[in-house]
Amino acid sequence: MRQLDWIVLATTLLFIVLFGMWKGRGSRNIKDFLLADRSMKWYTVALAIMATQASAITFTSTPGQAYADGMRFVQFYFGLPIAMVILCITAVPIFHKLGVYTAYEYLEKRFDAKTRVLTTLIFLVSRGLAVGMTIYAPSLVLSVMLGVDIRITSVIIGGLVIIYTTSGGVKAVNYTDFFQLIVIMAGMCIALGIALYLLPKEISFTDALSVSAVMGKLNTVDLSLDFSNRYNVWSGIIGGMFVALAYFGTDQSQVQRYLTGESVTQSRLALLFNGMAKVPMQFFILFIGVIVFVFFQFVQPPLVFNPVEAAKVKSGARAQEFRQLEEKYSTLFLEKSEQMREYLQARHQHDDIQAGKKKTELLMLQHRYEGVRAEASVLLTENDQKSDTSDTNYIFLTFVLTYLPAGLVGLLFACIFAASMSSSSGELSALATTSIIDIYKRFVKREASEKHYLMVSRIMMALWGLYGIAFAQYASRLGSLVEAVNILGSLFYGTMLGIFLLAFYCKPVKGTDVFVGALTGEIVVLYCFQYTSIAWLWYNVIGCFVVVGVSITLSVFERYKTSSLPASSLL
Amino acid sequence: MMEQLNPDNTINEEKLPILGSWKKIYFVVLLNVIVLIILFYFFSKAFK
Repeated sequence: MRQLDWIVLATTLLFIVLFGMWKGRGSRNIKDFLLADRSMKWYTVALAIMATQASAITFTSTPGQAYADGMRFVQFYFGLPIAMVILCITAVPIFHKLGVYTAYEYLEKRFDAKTRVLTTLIFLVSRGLAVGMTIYAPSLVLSVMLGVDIRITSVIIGGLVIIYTTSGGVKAVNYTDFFQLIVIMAGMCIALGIALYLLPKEISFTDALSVSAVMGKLNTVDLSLDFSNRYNVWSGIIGGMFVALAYFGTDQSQVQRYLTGESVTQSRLALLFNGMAKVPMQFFILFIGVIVFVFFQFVQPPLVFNPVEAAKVKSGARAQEFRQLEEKYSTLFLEKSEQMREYLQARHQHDDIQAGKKKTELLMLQHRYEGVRAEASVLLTENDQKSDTSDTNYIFLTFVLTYLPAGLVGLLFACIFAASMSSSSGELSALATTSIIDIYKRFVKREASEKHYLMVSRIMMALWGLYGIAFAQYASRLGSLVEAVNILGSLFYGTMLGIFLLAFYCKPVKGTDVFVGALTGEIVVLYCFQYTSIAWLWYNVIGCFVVVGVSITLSVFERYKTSSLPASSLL
Repeated sequence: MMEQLNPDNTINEEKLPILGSWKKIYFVVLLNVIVLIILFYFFSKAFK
């Protein structure tokens, strides 16, 4: 990065922190600090919801995913608008009417204390691990790309978040999220514009689409029903809807965002805006990856995008083999690039036979090309067992660092920092709120002054932030466990959703039935994870159905038992 | 207690900024995703 980029990056980050502190000033009680006194307008809440959901990895990894795997990931979001409508009808009015601080507070009013505690603990464990990852994952990517120690990047991300969340509470979180999402989307629009501008002059926009289609990158809709296929329309609509229902309906990091709405109407409008905008937004981010892919069909990309791993292998014992692979890669690239131009020429001349022939040759070349990349990945692992071979995180940032002009590189990196900060700040405030309201205020100190709770809330936010930074410092030593932690989060949502669906819709079901149902649901999901090949999106559906099924069965059984008892035993 | 905890679909504390009723807004949100799926389908087919 050049000097101008560092200035842009530092100024943007400083502005975000000061803006958050200024907007969040003057909290006098925990309602203000944890719920922004329920005073937010729908557009602030809506952008805060979207910013919290979109982590830094969304903006670094998603274009890379489109580069490698095409646009099929967009289908994952097809169920989200349905979930938004369901939540607007059910959860939003209930939470507002009861004036709760957390979603789990409602569970005690509806069921009992043990169900509330169980759900709170599930949330604290899963989200507690996630906050560490939210800081660690972008810290790693940024440290590699900027050549800065990961301890520095994680301390910057976590430290800045702690400063404005502890000083301004959820109000600061929402306002900074609002601003951060605007910066992020502006940065991404610029990146797309420049990627299109940098395409060779003879390659038009429709040519770019033809190239991406022929290489299988425009696979936006897959109608096949395959349970082991992670992304198709059905897993997206059904599985995606359950994930969104669980995430927005039961995860405090999202519930807290829309509880800050000044009325039911404002909260509903915020969620519905998210329902309208999320799919096009994801499509747009994936599309940037596709255009970067097209760009790298005419400008040679590195064999390995991660510069640290590439440097490691080049200076290691396998350097000679790596150089040979690079030569092979260059030859294939030139051949492929030439074939690509001939394919486009055939299309322009409406010569379908020649275009078909070229397409077959291109696909064969692409197969060989990917084969060389796979060989390089094996070489990295053989050179160093601990090497990071997940190259997709570095594709977009390599493009940004290498081809964007001075100033814009800084802005794009500021976007990545901002995205990381917006997600982790939402998570920190949710973890702190749950710790205070569902544990501290409920079981430790029931009666205390507002000043006391406000102070404990600030301390709790700082502690969760420090925990996140500490996790990021040591996460690299966990090796493959980091991946396991990521998957872990998806194992709990189904159970939590089942509990909330019962709370909303099944009046006869009592606390103990739900408690047993939740434990059973969790066991079944863990069994599926350990012993089956079912794609993780379906865990949410399975977990939810088991919780609902077991709880209703127990409830019916108990009613039957009670009604069949002799009248004397009921006395 | 249950009365208090029931989802209340009739809550409408302030005038809606657009369309006049929640049902219409929900319909538009759902229609939006259907239209997007259809558009994406034809988008991927068009360049194949």
